[in-house]
Amino acid sequence: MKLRLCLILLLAWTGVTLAGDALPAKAACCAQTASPDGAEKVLPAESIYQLESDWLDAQGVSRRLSDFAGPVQVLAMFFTRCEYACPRILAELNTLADDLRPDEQVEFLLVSFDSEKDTPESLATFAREQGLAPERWQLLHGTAEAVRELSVVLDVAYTRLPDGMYSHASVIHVLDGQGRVLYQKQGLGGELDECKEVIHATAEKNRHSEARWKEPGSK
Amino acid sequence: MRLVGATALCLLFTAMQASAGGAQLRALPGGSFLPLYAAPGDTLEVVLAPFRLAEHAVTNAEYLDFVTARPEWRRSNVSPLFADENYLRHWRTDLDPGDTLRAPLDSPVCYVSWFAARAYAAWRGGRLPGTAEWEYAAGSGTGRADPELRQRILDWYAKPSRHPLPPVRSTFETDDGIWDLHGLVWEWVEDFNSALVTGESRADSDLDRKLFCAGGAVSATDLNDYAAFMRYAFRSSLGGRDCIASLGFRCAADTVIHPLKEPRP
Repeated sequence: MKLRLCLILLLAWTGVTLAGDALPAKAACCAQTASPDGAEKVLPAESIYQLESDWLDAQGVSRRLSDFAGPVQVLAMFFTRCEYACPRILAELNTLADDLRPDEQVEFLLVSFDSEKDTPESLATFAREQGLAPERWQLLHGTAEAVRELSVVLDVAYTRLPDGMYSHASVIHVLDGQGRVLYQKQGLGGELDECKEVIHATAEKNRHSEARWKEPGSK
Repeated sequence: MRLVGATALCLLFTAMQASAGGAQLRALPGGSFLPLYAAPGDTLEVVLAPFRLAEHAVTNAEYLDFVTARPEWRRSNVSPLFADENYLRHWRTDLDPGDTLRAPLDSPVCYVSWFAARAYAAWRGGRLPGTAEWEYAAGSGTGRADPELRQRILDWYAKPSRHPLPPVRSTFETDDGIWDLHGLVWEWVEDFNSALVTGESRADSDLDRKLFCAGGAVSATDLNDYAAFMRYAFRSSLGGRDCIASLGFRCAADTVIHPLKEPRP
């Protein structure tokens, strides 16, 4: 009896110690990302690609935000069941996409607020229904914690309502090839001209920045 | 013997609960909670699952353990994406909070960003409390309104914060054994950016309504809880990188389900 109790105590204690200490360290700074040619690239200090959260795309493939480094990314947070704001955000993104020349390296990234219902499958269905070509559009599903972290980095306020819907700010973000937020369009409607200009200019700059991008610590 | 064994186990599990977060974690029963803001026509009540909340805010001593173990969160190493230039500015050096006039070891750590608070909580195996959990623990939105307490809270809000900060467990303890929810520091919550006063996608589709101060109050559920309004307003004014003199945090955790009953305090 005594022996058994001691064993239980020991086991429980080991469990506690492990639970407390075995958490993986999170690198807070200067995350490195492997480029296609194998060279390590150092992200600038302001890059949101430093976030180390794991996501799933609409194909169910595990992704990190740093996977999207390279082309200009036009990012918006949304959820598929949204009936009011998100269709309008998507319409604006489509307007921006229609304005691109074929040689411009610009992609679109839709990140869902709804970590419960917007599984990779429902994101895939949504993408199909909306005619979002996978070469240009990526949709991401993440845990509630990952979504909250990204929302804080991007300064997008949102709340999950008791009925499972989401109330959220409507923001379109333009990220350069290294994940720096260059421009944010707040709210629905309004002029898209400034946003278009930033996208074109960044795509142009991005084309010439490949060399500089490889210098560690470049800003 | 059997009884002694059972008691020892109970004590051990209490110790287990205490291990995450440095400070002891107190079990709070779940319950229904009425958020301060609700869209008209929505189901008003939020049902909270049982959870655990640290009995006091994270202290300078506890935070020193964290930065000692995690060099990337030291003042000179922290990424500007995750904390502004005021991060731990009151500490003497990276690993020295300094004398008791700066940052007493048993006082709440402040000048920490949301990202830093969250990293600390994860390091201890916990998480930050949600807004609903924090407010519920503080007795707001539970129908347990106490006008006297509300007045005391407002009196505290009216006073400039004290420097150096008093130690934890020095102000007010709730019935659940949670200290200093009011009267010491403001505290980060996981979803601090969830109070939508402007620019929201639902409920206030009429743009003009959002531009009035009363736009928020129209759908508030308890117009008398002025202190709660102030907390919501303060939280929604924050950015995740902000490091502020009177803003600290405490850890929370989900309730571990195990075969033993929760030991009664």
